[in-house]
Amino acid sequence: MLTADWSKLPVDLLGLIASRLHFVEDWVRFGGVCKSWRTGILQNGNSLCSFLPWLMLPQRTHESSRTFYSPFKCKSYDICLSGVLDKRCWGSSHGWLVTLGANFDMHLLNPLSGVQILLPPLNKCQNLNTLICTGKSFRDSFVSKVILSASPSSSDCVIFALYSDNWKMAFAKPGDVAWTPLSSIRGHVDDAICHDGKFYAIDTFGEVLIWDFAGFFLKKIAFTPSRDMDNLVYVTTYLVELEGQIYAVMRLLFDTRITDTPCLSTWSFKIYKLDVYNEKWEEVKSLGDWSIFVGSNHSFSISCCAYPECESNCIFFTDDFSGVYYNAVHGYDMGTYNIQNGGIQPLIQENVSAFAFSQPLWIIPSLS
Amino acid sequence: MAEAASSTIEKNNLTLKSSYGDEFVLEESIAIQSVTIKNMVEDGCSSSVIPLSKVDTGTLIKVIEYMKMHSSTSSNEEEIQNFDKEFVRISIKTILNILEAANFLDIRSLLDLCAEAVANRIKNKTPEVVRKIFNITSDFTPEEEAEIRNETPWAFEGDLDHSLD
Repeated sequence: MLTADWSKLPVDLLGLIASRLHFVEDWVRFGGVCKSWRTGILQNGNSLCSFLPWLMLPQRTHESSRTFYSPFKCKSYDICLSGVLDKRCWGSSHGWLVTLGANFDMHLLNPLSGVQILLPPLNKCQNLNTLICTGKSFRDSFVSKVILSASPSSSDCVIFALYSDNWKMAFAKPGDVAWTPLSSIRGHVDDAICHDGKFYAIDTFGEVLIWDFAGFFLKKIAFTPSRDMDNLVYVTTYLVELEGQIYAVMRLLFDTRITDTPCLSTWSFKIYKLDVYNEKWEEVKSLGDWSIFVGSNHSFSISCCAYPECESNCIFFTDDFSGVYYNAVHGYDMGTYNIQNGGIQPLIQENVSAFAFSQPLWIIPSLS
Repeated sequence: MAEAASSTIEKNNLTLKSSYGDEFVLEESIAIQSVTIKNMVEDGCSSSVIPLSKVDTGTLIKVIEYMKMHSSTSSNEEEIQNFDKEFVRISIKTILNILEAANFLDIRSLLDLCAEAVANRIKNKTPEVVRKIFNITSDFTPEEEAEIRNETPWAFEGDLDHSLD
């Protein structure tokens, strides 16, 4: 006969059960049941499971505690964090943040485990030899986005940074002493992602650029959808991987000023599926059972079949100022865009933080 | 001789024998959803009865019911989904037996179904309630328990489900 005792299940079976939990809170409590269940989560780690994302809310005070909001549980958690105070953060889909302080210090940080890894100084990168910029403005506006290809525990981890008015890029691996500049950029880059061992960037001139992780430029694909829309003030395009395919997601912002203060609000999105191999693209009108998360994070998608808690065919967007700074008098431009009916639902009511460098951010929580 | 004879019959049958000694005859094409049985058949041990000394009769009946439904050509996807939903609406002890049997027999889809069902009963519950549902005695010292809570206090906060459902 078999054990007939839940505390004596083999570790791999316990890991399998834990990997079916969709919320990191449940996963952590699973390890609080008994020693063998704790071993089940510690030995298997959470690298095989992916939890539903949290929204990391901006810095409010000079204290090192930050609020994380779980939109699929409608719960907020205040988590004491060392290593984010007065730092700008970008997110990734691997549970790690990239943090940048006003002293040029850049780190990788897992906000749940507290592990920090120092990155080489980006301000000393070869393609910035005439940098005239204070540490504060370097943090506030010089660096636009930083993403990770994988968790730093993986040997595939490469960090890519976009900076200098979105015109320059460089990459580094954890442990490197310096950043390596990326070549072939000819315009303002809107967004970038890592997928399948390659690095993809999209610029405002209608090009998708592809490099390998060693920094060799592979090719570029023309992407020139119509941008001709009435009263359109601003368009920014994100790249996101969904079921192994690359999608370009255009975020259309309109001026919604009431008085003289300009105020850009997201109005709608357009989605294009890229055929990288044949160098073609086509507009898609539905994401089916999938939803997409965009903002300052490494854009990601979620299968709502696997995660029924998440509404399907939606774009969950946060305010990344979409490349421009403006006076956000009405709170953050963030919400849930329903692709089928074009409606936008607010995510959470948040007053704009006094710390302008700190923005709401999607993060998939991870403890490994 | 027996092997050669059986392989010429169109619908091969296998006999599965539970730990209680009860025998069940099942078409080979259905039984080989179990990788363990498939390997035994391929290794040529299928000529006689397959003893499953780790699976009791009640559990084996449930596993056979599952394999029959999942190899049925007459049921559509929706029917199978509804069957799966009903299949795991059973006591936590029975799920444990099926989970362990699925692990031993190496039936991936049944293993996933059971793991999902167990996970669903853990969702949003406190460790205390999970222990009651699963009949587990905590072997943590009070200090160890306090340490876990101190490491990740956010996971133990808020409105948690205290019901034993």
